[in-house]
Amino acid sequence: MLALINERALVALVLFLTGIALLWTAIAGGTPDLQPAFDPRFFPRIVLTLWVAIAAMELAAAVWRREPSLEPAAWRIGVLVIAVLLYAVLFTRLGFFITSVAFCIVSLLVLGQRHILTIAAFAIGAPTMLLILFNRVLKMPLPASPFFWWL
Amino acid sequence: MLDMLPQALGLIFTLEGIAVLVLGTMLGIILGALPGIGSTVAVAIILPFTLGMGQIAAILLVLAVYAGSVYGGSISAILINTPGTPQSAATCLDGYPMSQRGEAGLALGWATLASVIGGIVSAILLILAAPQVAAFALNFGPIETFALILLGLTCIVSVSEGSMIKGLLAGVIGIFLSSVGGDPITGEARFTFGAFELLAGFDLLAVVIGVFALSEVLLRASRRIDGAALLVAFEGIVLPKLRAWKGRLGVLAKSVAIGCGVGVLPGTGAATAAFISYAEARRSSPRRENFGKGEPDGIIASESANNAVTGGALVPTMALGIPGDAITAVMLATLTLHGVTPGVRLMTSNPTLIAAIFTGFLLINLILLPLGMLVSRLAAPLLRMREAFLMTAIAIFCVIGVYFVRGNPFDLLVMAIAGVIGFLLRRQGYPMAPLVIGMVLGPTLEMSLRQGLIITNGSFAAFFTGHPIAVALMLTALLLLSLPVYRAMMNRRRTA
Repeated sequence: MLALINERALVALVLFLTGIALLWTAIAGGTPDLQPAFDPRFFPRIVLTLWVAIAAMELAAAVWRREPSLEPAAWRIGVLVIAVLLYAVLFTRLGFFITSVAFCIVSLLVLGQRHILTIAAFAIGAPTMLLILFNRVLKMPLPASPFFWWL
Repeated sequence: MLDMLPQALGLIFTLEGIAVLVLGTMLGIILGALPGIGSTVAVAIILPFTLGMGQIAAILLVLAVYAGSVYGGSISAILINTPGTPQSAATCLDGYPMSQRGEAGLALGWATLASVIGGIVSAILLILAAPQVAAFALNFGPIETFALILLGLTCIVSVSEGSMIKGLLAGVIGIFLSSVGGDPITGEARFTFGAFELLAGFDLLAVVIGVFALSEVLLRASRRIDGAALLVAFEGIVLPKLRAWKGRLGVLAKSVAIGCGVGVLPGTGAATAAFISYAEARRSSPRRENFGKGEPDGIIASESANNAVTGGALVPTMALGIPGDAITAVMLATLTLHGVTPGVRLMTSNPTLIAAIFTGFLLINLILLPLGMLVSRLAAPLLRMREAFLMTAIAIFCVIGVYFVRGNPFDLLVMAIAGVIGFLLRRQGYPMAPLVIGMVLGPTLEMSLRQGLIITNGSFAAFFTGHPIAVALMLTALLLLSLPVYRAMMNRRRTA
């Protein structure tokens, strides 16, 4: 069984199971006495049925062909994914400037930059320029920090 | 209309009028190029500034920002694979591969010329045929719209060549994502699982930016990045030579026609036109094998169609008072704020104003070429930075762009998750264009299907009787779907 699992099959399996779960939700939450046009789940049911059918085909193809597995993504992708998610979550809470400076430092280090002065210049310079562009020129304020009102 | 031209030109060629045309178009290009701002937000930003202006200047400013922003969206789509506006998403498919090949300037040259030609033709259409075209568009009811969207969805097949099952699955996922949120007819929450934020559904631009731009950053990070490498070699726009147009004029003409046609239909929009046109070009172009690898025909199809929509969309807005999409709805508000009531009577009651607006729109499209070249030349130095820095800047722009769409922190999370899922799917060869096509066309498909079923008392068979336009469109869709199968069979027979 384990021999059948590769990254492609795993992705297809996840998509297939997600489709099944959503289709089950659509069928269970439906109102049978409603005309299709007035049933909010009529259209999603059609779409999800197609989803499950196509995902099943993809799963079968992935197991059948057994393509060579890809080189696993490096550690840096894990760090960058976490950085991106934290940046997106904290952007409106801690403000644009602080989060952007922190994200720039992490991102540049992950992407192979090692020159500290260049990293510092970019991490402070780029968010400052964007802050001026949006807050002053375009008058479209970016989220401010709860700690420093001017950032 | 043409006999009003001298008075119209007199209204436009004032100091205020010319300044508004030039500055508005430049501002539109810049705002359109910033990911997430988009045409609707660009027009909305400028709206308060028009309140102190005269009637003509105010309307021209909004038109200039509108046309400029539609073109501007292609700049970031081509250079950094981040569509500035949803209607430029199709431009990424061939524009970005050209940039990666070191032909960013040429790709922008194709996009600029295609945009200008698309815009000019649609402006001429607007001047010559606004009342007649608007009357024909009234023949499009929900059933005809459903058939048109089905035709549009067939392009998923053509953008999925090489991985048909994965493309279809991505397309279906996109259509499903568009159905999340409040039901458009009953208002009931669907697939929100108690999350209040999901009631408004997934924001299209958040998903588009996530799956195209953010996933690109993650994909590149997963490979070894050369610290000293430049991401895009770009010195400014390079216009294609005249002989390079040989064999491409058919694609241009067809795409402009599609853009004008789709633009006239209320509720469809430039993104739909760009994808329908791209799919048609991919089917019919003699260079279809190169699509997705940096084929200029793909850029021509997408850019000429989305710019041709601008004029087309003004037809129902001005002639019938029906806005074609969100942007023309904001424009309708501008007209109303300035004492103009769009509708059939406007054409006869104030022909000078209409002639001035239409002529101004033509002039905006004419100055788009020099201004596009100027803005991109100014932006070129910004792009001469190392890949690691540009990737970081793109990630920041993704977040800023999505934040400005609705100011909703939830959209930022959606964008980040879409980026991660897009990265995982792209690693396995799932194309992302079908997902976006599904999300763009899904809402109109559902709405028109359900409205059609209400009209026919729940009978789908009745869609095929008494609706000749719909039948013709569905037959065309069927024909286009069977073409790849026919081609595959012919290829197999040839190789056997």
